[in-house]
Amino acid sequence: MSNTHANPTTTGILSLPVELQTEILSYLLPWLSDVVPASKTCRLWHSIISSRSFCEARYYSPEDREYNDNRTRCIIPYTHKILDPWGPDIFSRLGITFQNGVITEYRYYSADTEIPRDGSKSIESPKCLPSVDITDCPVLDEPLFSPVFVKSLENMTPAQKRKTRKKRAKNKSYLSEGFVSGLSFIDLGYHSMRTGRPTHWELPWRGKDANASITIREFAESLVKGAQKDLEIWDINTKEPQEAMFRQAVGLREEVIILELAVFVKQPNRYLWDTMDDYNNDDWPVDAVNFNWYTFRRELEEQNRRRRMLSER
Amino acid sequence: MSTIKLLSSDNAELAVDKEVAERSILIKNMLEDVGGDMSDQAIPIPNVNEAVLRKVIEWCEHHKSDPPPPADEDSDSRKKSTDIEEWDQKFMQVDQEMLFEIILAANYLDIKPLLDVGCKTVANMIKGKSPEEIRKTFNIQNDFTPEEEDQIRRENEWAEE
Repeated sequence: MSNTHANPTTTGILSLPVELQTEILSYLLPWLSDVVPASKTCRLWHSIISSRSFCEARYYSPEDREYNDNRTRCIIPYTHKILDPWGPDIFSRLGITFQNGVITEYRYYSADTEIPRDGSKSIESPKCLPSVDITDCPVLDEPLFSPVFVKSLENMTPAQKRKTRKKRAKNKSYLSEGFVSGLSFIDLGYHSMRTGRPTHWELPWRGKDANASITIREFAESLVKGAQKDLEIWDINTKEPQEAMFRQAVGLREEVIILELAVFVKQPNRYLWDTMDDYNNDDWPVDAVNFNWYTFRRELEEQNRRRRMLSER
Repeated sequence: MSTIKLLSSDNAELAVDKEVAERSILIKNMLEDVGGDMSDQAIPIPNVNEAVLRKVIEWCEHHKSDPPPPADEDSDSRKKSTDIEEWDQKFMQVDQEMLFEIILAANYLDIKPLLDVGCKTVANMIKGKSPEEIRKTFNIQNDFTPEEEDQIRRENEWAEE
């Protein structure tokens, strides 16, 4: 290679002040598909991208809730952006493939094409979007909740905790201690979300002994366990690999988080159709605005009761 | 409209409309400090050479009537789209050396919107590339040891320092 320019280490990108390189790399957020290759480029970039401040940028802050377009949406403060499907490139989201209740692959989907935000077009299948395999990506081993948030509570006295919670409640940041719910959808592709039947299960960490430092990977595994149960109840062959995707995150009152995991069932059997017809007219409270947690709980209990009856039959 | 003079690092004197030059917060503050009257004296810009300074002025000229950026410089990365308006895209079609010089100058002169455009341009050059392609684009040496590379592939703790 001819040496037309001066030594690259003195005039190239690495010669820029680290703050400016950090600024540049921060524009890759939260496009994981770009952050990951950049971090593998050289030591300096790896350390920038691994730094705490860069890591923090991957979480929503309470201020982010102000960002709202005309679509009903809710940002859940202190949660990892990877789970938000309404990222800057609109249809970027986390998808998984699982088989027998075990996740075999994580993929990050993104579409550069403009898809209207009014919901007039939905994704027909996750596979129609370009994606990158992130199964080994360390981002998945990051905590679901911001380390800042978790840390700040950890080191507090009970009195301080109460005060902080009160303060946060006042700031309308809904979450205090990792109470998380999963919500799965059986999505038939060409049908809208509403035709799917949302189900619910509680994750093992909640309440006072909450282990809020659960990772995204652990979280996804928990959700899949719940989805697996649903699939079995609906008599879907779970030995076949199933595709699933994290859909709109719904932030709620009462310190509850709900994240939807949409499972894309390719060939639903007759039984599933029959079951779903039962529920088609039920107006499931999936709307982020009108959601009432207590109503939802009651309906869930009813649903579970009916489901138990179905499965016993 | 009053005109001021800027003196580049290589001693070139450039006349600029005050309004245009004030896109630079550094110059704006400087002018305020001296009471605004710098008509007979050139302001030295010791970190920026003539070619780069001309480029920067060209940008300021085009953007002189832009509304000022929001006061609170938040780190709202949600708004961090890498979209660049067409004129800026053309403006940034320069060799890498000039591109980095512009970024440095924008940083020094405190012209946040120009800095943003510069950083976005570079970020767009990174996007969609493999590590090897990124290295090639920016002439970056792979300074990982084989062991480190192996570790990166598997490493689990980005969250911790």
